[in-house]
Amino acid sequence: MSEDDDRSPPLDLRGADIAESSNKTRNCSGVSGSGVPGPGPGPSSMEFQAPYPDQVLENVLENVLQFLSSRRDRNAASLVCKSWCRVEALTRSELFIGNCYSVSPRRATVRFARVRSVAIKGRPRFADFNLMPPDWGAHFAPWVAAMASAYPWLEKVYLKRMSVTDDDLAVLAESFPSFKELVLVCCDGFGTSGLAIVASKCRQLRVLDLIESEVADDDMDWIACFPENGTTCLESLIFDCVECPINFEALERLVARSPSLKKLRLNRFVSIGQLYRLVVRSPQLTHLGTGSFSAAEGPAQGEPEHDYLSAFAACKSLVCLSGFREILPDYLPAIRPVCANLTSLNFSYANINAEQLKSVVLHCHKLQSFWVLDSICDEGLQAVASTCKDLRELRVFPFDAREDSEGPVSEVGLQAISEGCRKLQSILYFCQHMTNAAVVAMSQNCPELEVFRLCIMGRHRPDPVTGQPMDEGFGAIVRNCKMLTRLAVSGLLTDRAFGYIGKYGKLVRTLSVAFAGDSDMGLKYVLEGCPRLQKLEIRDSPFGDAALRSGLHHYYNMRFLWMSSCRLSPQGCQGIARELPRLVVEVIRDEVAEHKDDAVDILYMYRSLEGPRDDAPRFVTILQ
Amino acid sequence: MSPENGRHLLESDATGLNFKETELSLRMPGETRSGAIEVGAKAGMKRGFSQTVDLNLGRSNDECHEKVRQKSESDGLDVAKPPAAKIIPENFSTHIDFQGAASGWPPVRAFRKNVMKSGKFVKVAADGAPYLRKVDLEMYNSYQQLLSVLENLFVLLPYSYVFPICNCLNEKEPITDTANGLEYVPTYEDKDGDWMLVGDVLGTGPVHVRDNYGQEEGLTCPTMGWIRHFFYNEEGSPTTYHNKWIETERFFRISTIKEAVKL
Repeated sequence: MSEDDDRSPPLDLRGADIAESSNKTRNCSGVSGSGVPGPGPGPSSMEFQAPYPDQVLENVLENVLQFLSSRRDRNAASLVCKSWCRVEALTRSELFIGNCYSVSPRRATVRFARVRSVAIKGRPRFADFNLMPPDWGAHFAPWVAAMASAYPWLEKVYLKRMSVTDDDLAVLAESFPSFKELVLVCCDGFGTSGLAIVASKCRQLRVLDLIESEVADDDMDWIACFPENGTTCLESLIFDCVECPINFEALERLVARSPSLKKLRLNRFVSIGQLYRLVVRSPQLTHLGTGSFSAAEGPAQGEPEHDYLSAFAACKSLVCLSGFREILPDYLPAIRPVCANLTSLNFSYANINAEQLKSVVLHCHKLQSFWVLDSICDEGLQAVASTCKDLRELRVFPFDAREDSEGPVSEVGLQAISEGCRKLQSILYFCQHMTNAAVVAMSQNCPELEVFRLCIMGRHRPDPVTGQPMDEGFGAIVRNCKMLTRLAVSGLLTDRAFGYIGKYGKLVRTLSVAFAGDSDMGLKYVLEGCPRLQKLEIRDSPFGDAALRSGLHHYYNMRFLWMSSCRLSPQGCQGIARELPRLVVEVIRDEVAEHKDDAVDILYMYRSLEGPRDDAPRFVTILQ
Repeated sequence: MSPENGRHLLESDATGLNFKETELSLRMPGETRSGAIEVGAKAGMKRGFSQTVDLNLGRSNDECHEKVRQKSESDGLDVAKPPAAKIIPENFSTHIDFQGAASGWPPVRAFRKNVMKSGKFVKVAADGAPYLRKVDLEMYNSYQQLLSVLENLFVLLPYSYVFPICNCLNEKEPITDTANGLEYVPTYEDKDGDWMLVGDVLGTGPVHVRDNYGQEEGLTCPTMGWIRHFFYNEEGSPTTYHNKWIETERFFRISTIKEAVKL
């Protein structure tokens, strides 16, 4: 297969293939990757056969379908008939696997033969919060092995919550000569050795993005492993999550010979003095992660104070700023020149107060995405609300992430944001103090909300002003925000809240529930009322077997259901497994407790074409 | 963990360990099971469930209570089992860790929590001590100050060089089995394979507290769990804890700052 094979070649070269296809068995999953029309044994030896009408249609279809980019559209097209299914499979170049266990690597690579870009998601999200033992699974190894033979022209790999080893990275680096983009989000299992292999062997590498991943420190100087000579193709290098020092001189040289570099996000081991040296060399950057934004530790190097202001002023293209991992607020004014152009600002590691924030954010009129720590208090949020009229996404993280912490932001900040940022689409808000009134106000002021995630950190907390549960607030959100697709609830919630969600949350795809509800009815309302529900994660809520049964009609439509510390029994879960054979029902034991009673710690179930996986660790039981 | 494990136990088979006593549960801050104020309880810890809005939860509430009672009664004979880190409060089997927080709550990823830590924590190992401690170097102005703090962390009694006492920083009291003076403190194994005492870094704790501890009387390091301290007096028999200074040469190994901060 060559790169030019995206289009199907003209009819007269496909004689060999036509003869093959006259056999009318068109089983989509049986289409092999080698069905690609090629030059064949030479034009002179081919007999010309008039293409039959179906073949013409298929060729036309192929030429048309290759323009289809949305995977949902493609999924729909593939259901029309077997012919469409096969053609769609041949023209799909981006493969998205939402749950790595829902389909086997072999089945996926057999059906989709011409894939250039693969995205795979693994672990359930609640695993991020240590709710289940590590080593649950989601290994990249079988995928990379299958792709190594099936997709020699693979260019892009995107993984989220997968376990990736250094060996996997080695296979990747060695198997795909055209490899261009590697994005690892919330992954683990690899170290700087794996990065070194990728850096040295992937000569076409344009993108190496490590986002919120855990990278082991093998003492390997991976930055120095990029090829030393000539220019690189690097456009994006993101490594702010790498918790080990890097060879700065090598990085400086790398940046100097990467003229296409647009995105650079440094880790906290890069001091502000070093940042300066990089920024002055690359004023073309559009995305910058500043590293520590603080002076280097240890004895003073005798560095002169740099003109940080001019360095940033030269960055005319900068639109996205992040980092500030150990910020020295004295340096904050240096970023003033870029504020007016910023569309994205991430201060979520910067322990700054309202005044310090205001000195910057009051100039950020174009800001669309803002991540920040609650150290800015309600006052800081009010400043954001007054300035950032174009804000689409807001995330407020807790500086002190404990249940009984102070909580410097509250309903006051939320109210202000709702009044000032009418175009808000997505919000994640951690707080201790929240009222129904403020949530209702947001539902009314921000009709474009698609993502509403409110985390009241104290469990079971009612509205502090009225003493009521938070039912009405979340009810207003689902009722008024007609585009809502993702919802996370918290605070004291009764079944009524879930009644609202079931009644009004018709577009909700993702729902996160913790410490909420009174009875089985809560879960029933949701499972019976939300037809678009795909991902449901519940912890510590009183939902039991009867509630679980109420979703039998819907589980095949879902990507997964997670329920931990609820009221499920093994018998109840077994019943589901028996009635839905295509559902993999995992009961995961949290190893903390020695269970003599029969409560189910964690239920994690998902549809799958493959049946029980064979790599389940000993603390996972798959019911059948 | 059953008494049949073949371990040589110092306590008698009749349990002096009041299992209910050692079991953590959800209640008002500072309150013990009997309602009295508990020594060392952290003020302002999470409220008991009953303090929240009174919900009519029906029969299921009582059933759960019954389950809790039955569990602790049947487990009472199992002397060897350390107190389970998992508790069963009124309604749910929420996992509560040693510091009283629900596990994985609030839902902030560990790396985000860790990077918010200030301070320069280093791991300190003392020869002969079964586990390591962490100290924040930023808190001390001089080496002498640091040294005196370190000496407080590791205190040796005569004849107890095999099981030295480790003084809990921040005045956390270990959980005591009053019958025979055995004490429990929570420990865990960190990423480097070192055996650490929980709680030296405020607001953090073990990711998973597993239910397997000390296989023999030796310095075998459990993965995580509760370990027992044996306190000997001069005659070599176990006794209750008391603090006693020893003139002795101490050597402290201090690991690098870089490794110490992560849990």
